[in-house]
Amino acid sequence: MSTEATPLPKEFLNWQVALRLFTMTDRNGAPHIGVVPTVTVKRPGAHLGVIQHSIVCGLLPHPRLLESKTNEFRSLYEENIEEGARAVYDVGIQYLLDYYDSSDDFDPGTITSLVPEDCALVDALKAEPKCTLSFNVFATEDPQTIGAPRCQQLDCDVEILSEGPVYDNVWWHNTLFHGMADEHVVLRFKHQRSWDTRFGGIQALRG
Amino acid sequence: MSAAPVENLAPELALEARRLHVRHPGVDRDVLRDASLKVRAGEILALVGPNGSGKSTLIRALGRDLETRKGDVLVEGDPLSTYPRRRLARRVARLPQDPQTPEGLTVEALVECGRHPHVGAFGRLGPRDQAIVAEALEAVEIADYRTRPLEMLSGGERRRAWIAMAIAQEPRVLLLDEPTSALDLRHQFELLDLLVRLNRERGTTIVLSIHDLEHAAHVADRVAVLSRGRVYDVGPPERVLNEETLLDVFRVESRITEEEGGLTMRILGPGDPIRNF
Repeated sequence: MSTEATPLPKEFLNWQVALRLFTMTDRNGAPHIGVVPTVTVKRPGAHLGVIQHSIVCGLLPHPRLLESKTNEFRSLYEENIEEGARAVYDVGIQYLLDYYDSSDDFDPGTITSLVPEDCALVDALKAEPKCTLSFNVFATEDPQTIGAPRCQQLDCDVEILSEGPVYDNVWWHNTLFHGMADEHVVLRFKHQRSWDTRFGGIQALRG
Repeated sequence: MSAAPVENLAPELALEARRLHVRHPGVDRDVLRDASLKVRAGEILALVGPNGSGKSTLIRALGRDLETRKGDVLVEGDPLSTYPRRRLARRVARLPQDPQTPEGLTVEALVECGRHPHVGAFGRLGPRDQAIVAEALEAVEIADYRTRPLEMLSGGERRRAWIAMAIAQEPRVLLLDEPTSALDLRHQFELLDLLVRLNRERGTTIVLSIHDLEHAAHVADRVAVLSRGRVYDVGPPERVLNEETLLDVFRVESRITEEEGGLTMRILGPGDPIRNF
């Protein structure tokens, strides 16, 4: 059953875009902890009935930009791979410095991740295509740029994709930095609702 | 009268790997992932990288010892798959890291094996073949041991005997997988000098995998750095072997200085990569 996503809180999406730009300007692409949420999925028989994994997650370009951005990722790779993986990585970073400009350029309700198709997380999501994504950032290097510490939980429905425009976009984006990943699937997290979980408080966030 | 075709005019590229994906039989993941590499005719190209980065796999794929899952290897512009075995053996010789030596085989008999791609159906060596074998034994300074069984030789001498076999094969390209491993320092230098001599005097294109980065810088015209099955960078040693590369690929902090005799590297300890590969 495929469900529609509800928009992520705008403040959260702005934060994610700022973190990703910071990752390019100050971390040469190394993911900030704020883009590495913990995924929790129900798994009968597992300890406490759930399994948890950390994943590096991504933002999806807005539907109006999806195809063109995929083509640009692919072109960057194809045009530079003969120079070596380092050259591809460096042009990828340069490209993304302009890419993470405005949250309006991204799909308002989707988070993505590329994971091995034969991992326990995928098995659990096949059985129960719902999860929570927990983002926990307790310290911030640059409050002016990336804001204050923040803890949020997103409840999501999940699609597991092995082809199609969303798969292609995430796969080519990943390829710029980590090379061609065979036998991987894309997890499309469709946001349903959000919670502010900082300091143990649980407060519903409005979009 | 038209001029005769010049068959042996060396092409610009001796070997080319195009977008190679290679996995070992029975393993469900690629060891090489989209690896491209151009080997120029007449150069020495060193492959460096951590354990498991794909150096030996690339050497084996270039020598058609492993099937490629995707991509092509070209030998002098033609697909490797189109080469009959004997023709390929006249172009490319590959020495594995630890070649198996049949018991009782003498040095001379081993080196004579190098002539097999060149001799006729009955496998008899002619006077020219005999002369080439003798010359190969001289080239690696092992002629005095010609009648000895290989198992009687030291590791360095045995390695030289195998290289003599490759010389006798008269390939245009020589692929060597870690030729200096298990040799003491003096024999390492002697072997590398021998490879340089082969390259300079005979024009043999040499591709070798090697762990010692200073040796790679000393011997190679260009260096290809492999990381996790991908070609990270290729170029002259003084450009490619830098402190960033050692951090990204080998995960070590280093200080590298360029001196008259080549690059000097001081490894300071573990470090965090600059690029998140």
